[in-house]
Amino acid sequence: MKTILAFLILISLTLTAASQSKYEQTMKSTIEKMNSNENPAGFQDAANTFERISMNESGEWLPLYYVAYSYIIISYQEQDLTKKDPYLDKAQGFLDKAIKIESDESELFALQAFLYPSRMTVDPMTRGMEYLDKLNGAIDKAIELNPENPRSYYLKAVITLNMPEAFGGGASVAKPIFETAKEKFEKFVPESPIHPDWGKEINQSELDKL
Amino acid sequence: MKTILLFLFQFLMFSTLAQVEISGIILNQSETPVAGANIFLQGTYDGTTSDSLGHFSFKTTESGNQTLVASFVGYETIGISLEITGNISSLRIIMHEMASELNEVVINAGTFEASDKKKSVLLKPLDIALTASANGDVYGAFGTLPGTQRVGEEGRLFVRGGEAYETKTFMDGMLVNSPYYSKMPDLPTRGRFSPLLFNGSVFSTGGYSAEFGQALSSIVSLNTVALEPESKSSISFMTVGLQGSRSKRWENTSLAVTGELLHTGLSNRIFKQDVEWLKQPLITGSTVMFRQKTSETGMIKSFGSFNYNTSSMVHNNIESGINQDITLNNATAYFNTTYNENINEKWIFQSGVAYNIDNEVTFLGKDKIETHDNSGQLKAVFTNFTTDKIQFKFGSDYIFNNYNQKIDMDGNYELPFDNNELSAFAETEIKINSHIALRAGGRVEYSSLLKEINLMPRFSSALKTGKFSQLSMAYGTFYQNPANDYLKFSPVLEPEKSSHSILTYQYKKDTKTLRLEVYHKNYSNLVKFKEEYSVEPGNYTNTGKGFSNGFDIFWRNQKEFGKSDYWISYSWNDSERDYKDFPERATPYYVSDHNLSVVYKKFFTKLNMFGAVTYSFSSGRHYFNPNNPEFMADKTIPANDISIGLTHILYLFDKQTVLHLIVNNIFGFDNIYGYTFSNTPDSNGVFQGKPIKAPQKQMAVFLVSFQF
Repeated sequence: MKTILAFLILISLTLTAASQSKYEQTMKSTIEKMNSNENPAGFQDAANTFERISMNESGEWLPLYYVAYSYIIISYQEQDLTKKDPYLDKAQGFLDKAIKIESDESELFALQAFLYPSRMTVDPMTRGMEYLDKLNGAIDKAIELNPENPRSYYLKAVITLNMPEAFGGGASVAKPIFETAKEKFEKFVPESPIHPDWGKEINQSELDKL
Repeated sequence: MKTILLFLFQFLMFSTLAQVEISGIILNQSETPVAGANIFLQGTYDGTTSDSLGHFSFKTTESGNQTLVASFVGYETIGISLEITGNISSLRIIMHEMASELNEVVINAGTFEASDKKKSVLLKPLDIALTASANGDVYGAFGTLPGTQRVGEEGRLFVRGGEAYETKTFMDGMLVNSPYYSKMPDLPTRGRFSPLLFNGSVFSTGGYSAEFGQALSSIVSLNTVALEPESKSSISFMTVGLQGSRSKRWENTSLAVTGELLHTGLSNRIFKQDVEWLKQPLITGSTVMFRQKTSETGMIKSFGSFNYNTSSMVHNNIESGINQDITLNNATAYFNTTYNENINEKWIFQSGVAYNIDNEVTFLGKDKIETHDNSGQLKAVFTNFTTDKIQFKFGSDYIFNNYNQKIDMDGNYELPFDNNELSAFAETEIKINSHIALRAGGRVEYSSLLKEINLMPRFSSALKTGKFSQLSMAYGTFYQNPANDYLKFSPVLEPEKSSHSILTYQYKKDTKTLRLEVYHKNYSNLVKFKEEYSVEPGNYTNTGKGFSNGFDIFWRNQKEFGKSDYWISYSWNDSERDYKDFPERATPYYVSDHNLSVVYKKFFTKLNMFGAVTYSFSSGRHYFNPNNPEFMADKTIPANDISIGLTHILYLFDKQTVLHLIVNNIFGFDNIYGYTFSNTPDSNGVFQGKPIKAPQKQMAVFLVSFQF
């Protein structure tokens, strides 16, 4: 009898835990699936799943974060310049919703800084100046909200690297920023397994190229 | 024990038995599979993504009445009611492409629009600012578009066989009465406003909306920027003067002030001009722009500009055979204020007031001509969007004009007139489906001076002929009051009239655009006179008429950033008129049959340099030769021009610095715009003539601008 009771208690605990973490589990498996693929179709699938989750978990900013993140990646992968904006419009919509939920989250502003360069590539002549100002604003805000968020530094380093030297950019200026990012990545521990935790490898490979 | 086991068993049964599969296919209207769509049951986690063939399949534990939702970027989201009692397969879901600016039919016959926001446009505001040969002049840039004719000694826009005064300029919908600087004989002028003031513009070469009137040929509609993006200052040093600006931004308010002082003394010393200046041209000007956001959708825009220019030269007047000192002093002030607000979701209200003061004093030797031209405008427009397919617009404007010319020339004369012009218009635009759009409207104008009411129908339509192509047409009639120079002598004239018929084909795919346009214009009621400057009754009549036919070709290929971007525009025009003092119908002096412009731009990423080149060609122009018994039968040689512009951006003393060099007619083509002849024959009975040329063959301007 005792064993049965113990067994029952165990089962009921697992069941409640399972229903509570259906959100976390789905998030986790989708993040893993997203990270294991390279092509736009995979990111579209991830975006769709995160969007479905976000509709059921209206108080959570993470599903919205990942929908936006997926669409931004798709926009970078898209070669046709005229098709980038619709993806970015979609990403911006989800990002705006996430910022409404969590207006002091450094990761959301870092993601915003990840979005703007894609907007610029559509039409650098007309958009360059406008988005460069917005981009710097987003990075500054992300750093201000959490100076330990490594992604803000990684993004700042990439922007600096791609700026002409005449504008205060270039490899020599960017290198120390990549190094700062590296330090921050090494110390960084995500709040939970489903919190943003990307950029370490790419930061290292960029640094190796310099 | 048993009950517990039973409970467990039931629980397991429930979770396995209730799972059903939902599958099907997603297609668009043309039955092509939609890959990547999100399909799910509303309010659940259950769903999937359609595969590359549009197939989808997912499992769910839900049952009963549910909504299946399908959504995808660029498509309208749809919901389908389902009753789930078991597996559902072979669902066929048709998704509809969202009407986006890129695939929607657009009414655009006769229209070139430049905008950052709209994607269907062919030009960006920066294209206008950076076109070589335009010298940073809005009208110079539009002069490289098809439908225009280059008239080197004028510098103003001549559109499709029309004179310069037939083109009217509007700023934020309000009339700008004196858009150009005043002009010395045979020397080109330019627009008063910097292209950097505007973030959108529309150049219509005909068939335009009923909202615009009093323009026989063309309109240029410029939209000023909304709130200034940030507070900043700039100062520019040029070989022809100084410019400065300061803008300040508050949350919902911005204020921007510019000032300039232009003097060509230094430049004319380097690039010798074939002009004997007594006083080198001096231009001072400033603008003030105030913006106030009054609500989420409401905006007040105020603009003011002040200009004073003065110059003095010796004019070799070959007609009368004497050298004459000409001095020109002009002071102009222009103000406008507009207020726009969305009354509710369906109504937009736009209103504005404008005032223009233009005072000019000209000395011809000892003679003095003083011209005062004051005008003002009030305008209100309501737009209704009943559905996104139907738009209805109506409005009214009132324009007054007080004109007075005082002439002190062997006695004192005064030539005043006043006019009050009241107009109203209504226009509706209907998108019948994603392939066909129609716009029909009318305008009515009444002039208190001419005492006449005129009704002008306007009609245009567009038909999508393929995914990337469309056909548009426009028809309209247009009235314009005779020029002030005639009205001051004879206020009993009627408005001049024109009608336009235009057919346009446009193909736009990715970075490439091809646009072909044919047109026919009819002119009637044109002013005709026996003798210029005569006050004799019956001298001025409205018996002039003419026509203008032609076609335009525009090709643009705008590659990716850093690569080349170019456009080619070609215009052919055939027009004749019997007007002014013409003894018979003839091609007027400003018309050249063939005009070609090739505009090329490239950004050199490594050098951080922007380069632009413009080549333009105009075939010979007719001119009147009194030695030839046939009227207007002589033609000039063709004109060629290659101009370049280089812009380099760098950081100097920690400030963003722009270096800008423009060189016009870099190869020094010897262009002849026409000839003037003496009024009296010499001793051999020959009328002596003189070519009209640019004051200097080549011209360069260098600019350094600091921003902080």
